[in-house]
Amino acid sequence: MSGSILKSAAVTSLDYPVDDGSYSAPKRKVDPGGGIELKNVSHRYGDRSGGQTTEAVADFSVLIVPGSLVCLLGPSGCGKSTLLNILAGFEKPTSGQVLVGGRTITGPGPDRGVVFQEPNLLPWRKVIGNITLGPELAGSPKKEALAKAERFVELTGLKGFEKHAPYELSGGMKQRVALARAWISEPPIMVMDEPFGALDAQTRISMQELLVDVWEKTGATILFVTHDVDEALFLADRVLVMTPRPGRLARDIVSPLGRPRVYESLVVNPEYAAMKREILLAMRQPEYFI
Amino acid sequence: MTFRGPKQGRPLGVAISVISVAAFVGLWYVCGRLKLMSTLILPPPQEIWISAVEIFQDGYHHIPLWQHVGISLGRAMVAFFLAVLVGVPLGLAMGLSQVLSSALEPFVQFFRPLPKIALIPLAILWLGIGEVSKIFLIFLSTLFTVVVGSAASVKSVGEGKIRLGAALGATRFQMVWRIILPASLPEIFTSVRLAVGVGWTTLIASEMVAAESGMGWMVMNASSYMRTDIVMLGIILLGLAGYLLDYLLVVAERVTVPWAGRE
Repeated sequence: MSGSILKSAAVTSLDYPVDDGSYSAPKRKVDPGGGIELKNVSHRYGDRSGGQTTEAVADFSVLIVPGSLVCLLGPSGCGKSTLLNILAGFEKPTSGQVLVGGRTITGPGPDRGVVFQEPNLLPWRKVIGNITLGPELAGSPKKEALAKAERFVELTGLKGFEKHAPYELSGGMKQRVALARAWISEPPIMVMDEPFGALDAQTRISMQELLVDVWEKTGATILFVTHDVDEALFLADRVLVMTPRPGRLARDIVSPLGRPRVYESLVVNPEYAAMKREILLAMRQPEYFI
Repeated sequence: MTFRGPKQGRPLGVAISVISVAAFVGLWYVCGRLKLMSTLILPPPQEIWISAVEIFQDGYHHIPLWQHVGISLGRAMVAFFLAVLVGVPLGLAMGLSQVLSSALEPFVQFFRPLPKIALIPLAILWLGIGEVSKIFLIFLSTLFTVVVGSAASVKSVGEGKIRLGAALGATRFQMVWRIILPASLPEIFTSVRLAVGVGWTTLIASEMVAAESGMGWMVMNASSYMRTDIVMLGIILLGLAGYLLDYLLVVAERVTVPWAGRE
């Protein structure tokens, strides 16, 4: 358990190995406010009628360095969404502490952008109106919000779709809008709850590439929840494998894979295979690692 | 994917609907021509048409036909407008506040299923037999459906949208005004449509009991003179006016909440 904090030190260096000379890692200015610390977080859901409680998360501790892309991997119902809701501030942990940028969180906040499983677009707003929602609620003048939106419209490949209504978009496009909406205020932390889970395989891959691209161009830390091993392998600097309910940290694996990552090359990469094997073993026998 | 039912408004669908109505009227016409029934019991359409032209020109009891229709529609519209004006904010407030909801729920649940026709004697006693008592009755019969529907619409706003608002730092006011209210609109429209149906019923009932004009009164009055043709004309006009009201609401809904059902 406590080993996790030691291992996290390995990802402080974000200099990517250059693949074949054609790719140079973007000079990334990491947002220093993106550090996350979970200290002995436990969560129980109370059943008010019978006094029965369900333990969703048990004694979960992890330290995440600013700027990293961390995947939280585990079977359905293992409490990974609960953990994410706690970090987003939607739920309070029964016990334990959650620190973001060194401060204990008290609820949802603008320092944490959230992307949900469902795109959750507001159907009465056009694409651009959905993206500028955050700045508008924060009281930014419309012009300023639109100017900010432009960059993320570009980054998420939504150029030309600004005036579309959400119901005119495909699932993948909707999730792009959700990404742009969460990212427009450039929060130091992005919290993502299986955002690509409902997409078809091809769209999912292009969205994963898009996500890494935007992440590299911003200074954000990402905590990405998924149950898809390949998704975690493709995205993550570091993979946290959770046990089935109650969710505990079973393994904390730092990815040896450089960037850029290309699916076609990854599948024949022995390091990829070795890490996948480790993750699969951890998922099959999580109790062995606790 | 949800089953969306037959697509309305498609040329084939419209054609089938028109043919079906024409066939019904045609059958009715033939029954009349063959004198299968006494015209007192079921006047044929041609006879209703003649009476319609007659009262359209000379009026019924010296009141032009369009005025009967207009008076009924006017009473209903004023009452519907007031019911929406009061009911939607009240329902939204109940949906948002547990205290208010608990305080008003017993009254709402008592009055909503109560047949409002039972209140006619009280309405007359309190407000007389003028326009106010009729408008009051229609208002009451519409109000509670709107209140219940609006309150329920708040509850039906997805947890995801609330969390989205919270994550983007919405204040309580912004949450209500920018997220909950627009998200509730499609359901509010549905409840208003339901309420208008109920209100229309009460209008006619109250006109049948105490009035000197309006379509409901015309039907009752004509029946006491055995003018079945005018009774049927009144029924047809009532049905058409109710249909028209609902259609106007559907149009208003399409304009206001074009995204309804397409999320």
